[in-house]
Amino acid sequence: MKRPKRWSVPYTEEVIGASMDYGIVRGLLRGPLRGLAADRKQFPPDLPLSGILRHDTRIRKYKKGEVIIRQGDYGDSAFYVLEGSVHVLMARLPTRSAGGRIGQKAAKWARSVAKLFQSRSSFPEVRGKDRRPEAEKGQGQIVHLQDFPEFLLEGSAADVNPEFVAELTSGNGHQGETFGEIAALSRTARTATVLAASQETQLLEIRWQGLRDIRKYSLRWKEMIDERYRSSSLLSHLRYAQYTSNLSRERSHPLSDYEVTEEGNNTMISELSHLARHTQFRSYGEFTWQSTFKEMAESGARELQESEPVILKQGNIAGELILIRSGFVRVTRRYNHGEKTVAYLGKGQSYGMAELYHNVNLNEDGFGPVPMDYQHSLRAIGHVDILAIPGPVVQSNVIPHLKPDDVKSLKVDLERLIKDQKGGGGSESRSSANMLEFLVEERAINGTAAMLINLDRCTSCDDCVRACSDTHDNNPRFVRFGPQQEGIQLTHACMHCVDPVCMIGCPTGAIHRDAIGNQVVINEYTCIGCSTCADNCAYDNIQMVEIRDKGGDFVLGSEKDEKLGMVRRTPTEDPIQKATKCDLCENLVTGPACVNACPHDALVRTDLTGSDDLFDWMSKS
Amino acid sequence: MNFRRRRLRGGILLVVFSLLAWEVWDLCRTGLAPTTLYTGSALLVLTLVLTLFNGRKKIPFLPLFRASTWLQWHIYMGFFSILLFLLHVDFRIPSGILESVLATVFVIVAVSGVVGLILSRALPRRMNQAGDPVVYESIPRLRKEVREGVRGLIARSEESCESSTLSEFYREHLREFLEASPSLLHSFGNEKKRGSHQLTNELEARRRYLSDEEIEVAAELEEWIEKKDNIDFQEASQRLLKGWLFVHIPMSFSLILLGVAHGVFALLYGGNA
Repeated sequence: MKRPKRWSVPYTEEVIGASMDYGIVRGLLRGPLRGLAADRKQFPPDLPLSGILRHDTRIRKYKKGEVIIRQGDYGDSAFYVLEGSVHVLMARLPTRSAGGRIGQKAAKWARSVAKLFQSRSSFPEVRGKDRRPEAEKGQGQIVHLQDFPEFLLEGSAADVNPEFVAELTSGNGHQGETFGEIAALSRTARTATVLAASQETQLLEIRWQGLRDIRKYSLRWKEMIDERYRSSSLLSHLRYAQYTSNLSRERSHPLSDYEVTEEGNNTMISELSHLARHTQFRSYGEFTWQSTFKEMAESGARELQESEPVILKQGNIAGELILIRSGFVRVTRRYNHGEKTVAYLGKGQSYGMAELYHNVNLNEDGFGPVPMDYQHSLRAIGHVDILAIPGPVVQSNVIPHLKPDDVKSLKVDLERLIKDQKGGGGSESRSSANMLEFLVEERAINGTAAMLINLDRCTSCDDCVRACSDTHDNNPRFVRFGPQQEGIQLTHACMHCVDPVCMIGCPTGAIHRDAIGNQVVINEYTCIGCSTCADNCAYDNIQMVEIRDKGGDFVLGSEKDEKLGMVRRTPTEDPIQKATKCDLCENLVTGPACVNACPHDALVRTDLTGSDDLFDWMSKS
Repeated sequence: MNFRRRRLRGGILLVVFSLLAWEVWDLCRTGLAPTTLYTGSALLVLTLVLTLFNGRKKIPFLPLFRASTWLQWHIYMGFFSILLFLLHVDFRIPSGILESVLATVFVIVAVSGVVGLILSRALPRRMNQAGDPVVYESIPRLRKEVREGVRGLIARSEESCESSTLSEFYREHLREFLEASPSLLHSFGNEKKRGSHQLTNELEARRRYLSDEEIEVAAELEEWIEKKDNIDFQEASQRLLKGWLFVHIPMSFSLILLGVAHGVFALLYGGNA
């Protein structure tokens, strides 16, 4: 078997109707990508720009009204508008025909039943030599705006009705513009739905590996992408954040800044824009945090905590509202000679509002108790992007527009803070405190489907392992072992992280997020066995396996024989490897077989990005 | 729903159905209906349904309810079948050969099931409290690791400390402990920890002959002893947890075969009383 390499499978092969060859690349570099071509010499000889464009990009054509990307879905590519224009909708399309979701259940049923009749291999990790991937789900299926008549202008077949979709914008989707790069580079969900706005819209789709390399070697693309990342993500985040979602995008505030319109008039900007203008974007921690985490974890819990960058310190003047844009933050409170973890915050959550709210009310009264400092310290776990809104702006622009429910919960938070302040903290139970420390120390908070086993109920019957094995051609995809706390084992099974660092560095994009189910899955056809994902996984949940043919023999790689004029291929001694891991049984109607197979209710797949699900489950026994 | 509430609900349902079955049986008996035919048929069907649980485990990819739901039904229907059995034999000990064998097999299945249930609920907690969990298949490797770790430690200490106290302790007591496999009942009663306690006491008694360096080695030895003790406990517990099924499952299949044979003979030769 020819040993697979990065560009063995060009990006065009994954979608029907996409095109790309060196002729097109030349045309692009002379035409729409002239700017990029100017940086061509910056690319190393073994990673030429033309090679990246040939293998990591593809041209796709869309008709007017066709959905290109959907808000909430995960994608591993960005788009560059070559011809025509697109509309960006800040609205989530209903799920009834979401990117091919119709028929998914029937197909899963069929696959589940078919398993009854499939013969299983007698050897581990058997692969057919000609094993081709299944068609990429969602990518090849076309969804039109016409599928959602509520978004259409009356009497029109493809025009978006601005009445129903108030935030229709087209400014950032014209020829020469890019979109989708934020989700692709930050491994997060798409923040908007994008539709083709012209009859013939031609886009260059760039898979993130290519985009990463272009960004690395082309300074002007790097600046463009970074600027877009900051500005777009800032507005998008403020629009949906808990305390700022009530702010108007049209109405201006008496203290709002001014801007000059196209006509040259001075006009007050909206409340939201005013807020965005004063908001600071900050990043903490390393983007590839997993390598230092492994080292620090061995040196001890205290050392690990101390190695985490401090975002704010307990006792400092409460001067900012912190919104978490991405990543996780550890919330700690001083406890004797150390710091106790009392919570962790993730994307969309915020810190500091209770203190600011307390101090604002204090200012209005002019007297009363002393102003409240920050009651906790915040530390960045891994890589964290935050938005910091200055206290005075919060006071004038945010607090007056708080929803009644938010005010109510803020008052509850304040009471708890004051109680903790008087009592020295520690109102949480010992058990939950230890569990929080454990989850943060193990970085399990990254998992959206972590496998937890209640050891007080687990009889070690291994039915979960057998079920996994039965559904994966006799190859179990997890190891029933792992660190434990309070009788709960964090098992070595892929947790389908909210920030899948395993995807960083994959040269072919084989490990990716499923566009529909959002699971992190591996396309075995494009996996070249480089083990980058397995090395990157901070939890050791990806295994490299040596594949075999149906006769049980290892499949050996073949390489070009230099001595024989690069013509003959000779087998090498090293078997071909593939990365394997839990896929959450995404193809089965039952969901994860391990959960279904546990007779003692000892096993659960749970979202640890928040701790509520975990504590609910723990309270069952 | 938490487990306590689920148990309560299952228990209430079991009692209600049991009382109902008893009442129906009593009514039928008073009305001279063929109660043994009814209870026998119901018992056979119930046994078949109970054995389907094992089949369900072989097809985890089909949406046939979770295995935990099946187990709940299995437990309560199993208890219900005991009542049906008692009604079927009219609370008497059967006299015929086939009937006696059948009744014995039923009792074995029922008792092994109840024992299995108790073990499944009691042992995991004890295993969890005893020490780190151990994967059953890795036990031989772990044992080897312990043996080699201790041997290496003793050899090093003998060489560097120029003293035979610890090596004698190893030859006289420790080696046998390290090479021994736990008995089936190791998880229960005093046997657990007995061996390791004796060893640590013996080690403590020899402490007066040890140098500072040897005391450090002795502390390490205690850790190894603790590790071996945990492996023994985990192994014995897991053997029990797996072992009862080797009685319960084959006997269940025997029960079905014998039950069918008994049914055929009863219908052919037993009349319908």
